[in-house]
Parts: sequence; C-alpha cells; structure tokens
Amino acid sequence: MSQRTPSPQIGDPAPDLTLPTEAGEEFNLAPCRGRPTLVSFLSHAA
Amino acid sequence: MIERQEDIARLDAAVVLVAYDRPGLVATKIMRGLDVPYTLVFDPTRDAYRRWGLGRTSLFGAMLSPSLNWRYLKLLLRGERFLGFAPDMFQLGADFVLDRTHHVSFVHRMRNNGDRAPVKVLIEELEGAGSRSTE
Repeated sequence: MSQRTPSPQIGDPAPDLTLPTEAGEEFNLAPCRGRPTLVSFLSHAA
Repeated sequence: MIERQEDIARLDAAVVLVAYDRPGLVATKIMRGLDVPYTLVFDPTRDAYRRWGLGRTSLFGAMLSPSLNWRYLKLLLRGERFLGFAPDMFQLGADFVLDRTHHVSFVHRMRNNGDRAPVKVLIEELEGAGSRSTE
C-alpha cells in the first residue's frame, strides 16, 4: 500500500491517473490534455 | 452534474469520476441509467486517492455530520432509494479542475462526507480554466 502524498495545489501539474472503467478498459487522463478537465474523487456519499 | 451536461458540452470539458466502491453500485448511483458523457473509473485499492493526496475522515465526518444527513434527507424526499453503504465510510473525496495544460486551477477537498463543491462553482471554474490557459 503506497503512502498518501501531498495533495496537488493550485498551479501544480496533475498527477497521473490510469484506472479501469466499468467495462474493464484502461483509462488514462493524458488524452484529455487540451480540454478543461474535472477530476472528481467520490466518497461513499458520492 | 448530470443536469449540467449542456454546460459541460459547451465548454468542451472532460469529466472524470473516480470511485472506489463496487462498480455496478456506483454506476447505478451516479449515472442512474442515463447516457451521460462522463468517464467513470474505479480505484478499488485507492492508490490514486493516495497519489492525489486525499485523506480520511472521522466517524463524525463519515456518518454524523449535519450536512451529510441533510443530503440524505433530500435524496429520500426526492424518492430515491438508499443503495447501501460503501466498503469504506471514512475515505474522503475531492474535486480538481485542471486547465488545458493539466495544471490544477481549482481544488475542493472534502472535510466530511457531506462537503462537496457546488456544481455551479465547478462549472464556473471549468469555464475559467478553459479560457485562461493555452499550451
């Protein structure tokens, strides 16, 4: 289990995000560059 | 956010929802059977949550905060069905808005499970992020 790293601050580059979709396909954030992007991490209450 | 699809499309914004809960349950909760153009991804080990620096809450923040209970009450009053608890009630989320170069231009870190950034604010921040930055 990795350690929690400091949360990115305003002006910082976004960390990598590569995760599976519900369909099992791999999603990577990089192709979204060039578009404003919202990355929303959900809690149990969504 | 689902109700603001037209704004998202106008801004040509990408929306990525990251969940750690059971995929089918989350998809049911979030998408509610709608064909929405958001990407829903899953992080069951929560490695991405840790790499993005997201913390955990207390028992009060997870279950007892007034804002969370008010949120559940509103859902019930709208006739929505409670779909069960997630495996980890203490994991907090956050909203990050990235500009076109994928630098963070706005962040809202949850302090408890009822503390989400208002959708109106997220739309405004996406609008600003889209117009400010160039590569």
